[in-house]
Amino acid sequence: MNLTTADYLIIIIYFLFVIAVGFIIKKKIRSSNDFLSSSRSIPLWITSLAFISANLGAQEVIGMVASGAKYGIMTVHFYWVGAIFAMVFLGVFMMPFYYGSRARSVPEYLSLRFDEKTRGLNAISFAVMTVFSSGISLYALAKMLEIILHWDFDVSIWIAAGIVMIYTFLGGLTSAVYNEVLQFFLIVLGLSPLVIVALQDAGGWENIKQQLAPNMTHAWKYMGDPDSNPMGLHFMSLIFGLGFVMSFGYWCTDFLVVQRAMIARNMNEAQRTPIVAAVPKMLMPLIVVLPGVIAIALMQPALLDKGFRIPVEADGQLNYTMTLPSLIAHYYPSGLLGVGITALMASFMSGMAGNVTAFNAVFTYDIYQAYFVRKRSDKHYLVVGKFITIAGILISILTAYIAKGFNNINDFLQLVFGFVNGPLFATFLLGMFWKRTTGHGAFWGLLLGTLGAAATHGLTIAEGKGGWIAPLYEIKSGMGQAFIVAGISWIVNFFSTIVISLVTKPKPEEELRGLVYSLTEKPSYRSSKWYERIVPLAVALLLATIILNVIFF
Amino acid sequence: MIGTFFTVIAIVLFVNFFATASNDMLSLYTASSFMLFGLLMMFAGKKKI
Repeated sequence: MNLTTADYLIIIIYFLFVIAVGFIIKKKIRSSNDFLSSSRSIPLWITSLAFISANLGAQEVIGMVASGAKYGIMTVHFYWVGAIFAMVFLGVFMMPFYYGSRARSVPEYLSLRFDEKTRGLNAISFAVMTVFSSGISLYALAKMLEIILHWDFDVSIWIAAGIVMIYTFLGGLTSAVYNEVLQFFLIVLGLSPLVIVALQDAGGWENIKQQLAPNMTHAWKYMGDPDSNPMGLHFMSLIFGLGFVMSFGYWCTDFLVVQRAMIARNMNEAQRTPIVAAVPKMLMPLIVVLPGVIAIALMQPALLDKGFRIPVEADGQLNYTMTLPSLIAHYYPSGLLGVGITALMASFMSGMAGNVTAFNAVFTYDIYQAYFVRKRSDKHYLVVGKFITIAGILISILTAYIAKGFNNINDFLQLVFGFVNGPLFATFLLGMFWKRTTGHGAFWGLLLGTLGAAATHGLTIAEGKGGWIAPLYEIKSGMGQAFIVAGISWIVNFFSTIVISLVTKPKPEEELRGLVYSLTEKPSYRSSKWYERIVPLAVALLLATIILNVIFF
Repeated sequence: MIGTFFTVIAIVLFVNFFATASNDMLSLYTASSFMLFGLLMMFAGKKKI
């Protein structure tokens, strides 16, 4: 792939704009709250787009196109079973606690609801995960640029990290959030022409359906038998493992995304943030799943004359990760190629900036201020927040180099993240909806759930992975194994938290007001305009999601 | 800011399209849609929509 002057110019203009956003926002940063939590001043449309953009990182864009090519239209389950229902649940039921408790972060909510040790466990695991995720994202960007443009790995790492550092250091969370909106539009508008032209080239959706095996173009029809669908999953595993445990665990408890709703101007907008965000999220498969399905259709015998190929790895397997870059290289002419490459860079950078801003808030509020240096001036915490931003990016760069040297570290880290995230939603669900849940129950339940995840992975084997204790049970796909690991860890956490809570002393009810469902006054929007009413919006969204599932059944 | 960004990118795409005498209509359609979106965003920003 060769870039022309116009392509380079577009990339440079993008870099200049994101840095300019940092300089503009810098003038408004006066306190640590401005820097770390935007002082709850961001309008709804910005928080909503930033909410999905923070998740629209490299794993999402390149990973979902790769999954579309590998598993077909079933990949939409990550959106229409996973994300939407969890986002609606977050908006309707959980945001009143996060926002109403005045907590500045998810770990801080845990300290108010439970105790310091639960907060510490969540804060430390989250801080480690986000900074490593950021590094892996950086590694993936540099690796991709090295493969497709032959750019130097070191130069790519330092330029990308340097630009993210400049705008997050200058403008903190607000700067990252405004850039996420720019990055969202760039990704959507930059990749839309690709979908249109590739779909046209493949002869439209009807022709794609004729070219591919039926289980590649139906989302549900072949899910009754794990052996007859590409993911190797039964629909019950999918609904419980992905639709409930993993998606709710991520969308409802991960501070990286929840932070975008917590900076809204008021409770109503905080609740509507994930609900409004769910509308573009519902349509996102058109940009990130459909291209993968089209790519695999273009490689079928009847369409070979189109000349598109997904590169092959040394072992003869298709390199699905390269599906999107290959489509861009195949279809985009000079100029547009710059737009496509910039869109890919934007996805990496928004993911990295999202991780870094969540990391510095949790580190400053929940580790530094909570355990090391309390009751200092606001200016002190502002300086610390800025310093932590630089430290977070330097650790990300270090992680990227470690990932370069040890390929398996990516798999290992993803595995550990799964162990930690899997059981987390059970802790929040019990904490918010059962006032009898205690701090000891939450802490030990979380630890036991994580151990349960590790044990399940050690006793099952899929695609050669896992089974490090004893390979007692074989699962067809790695994805199926991830769902089962998450499901079991959730169950272990859920029941162990209940048992331990029943034998330990709960907090007095007065301390739980505003933190638990039964002791909290529910916000009412009955007299509000239709677009400000949470429940009708949520119901409309869920109906639309069900209709999409039926259309692609 | 977002509107300005897309308008500038659209101008680069237009200039590139005519400078290279390209007949690839995809570039022209994309440049037009970027320009339209950029101007709309700038208008929305001015009107504080």
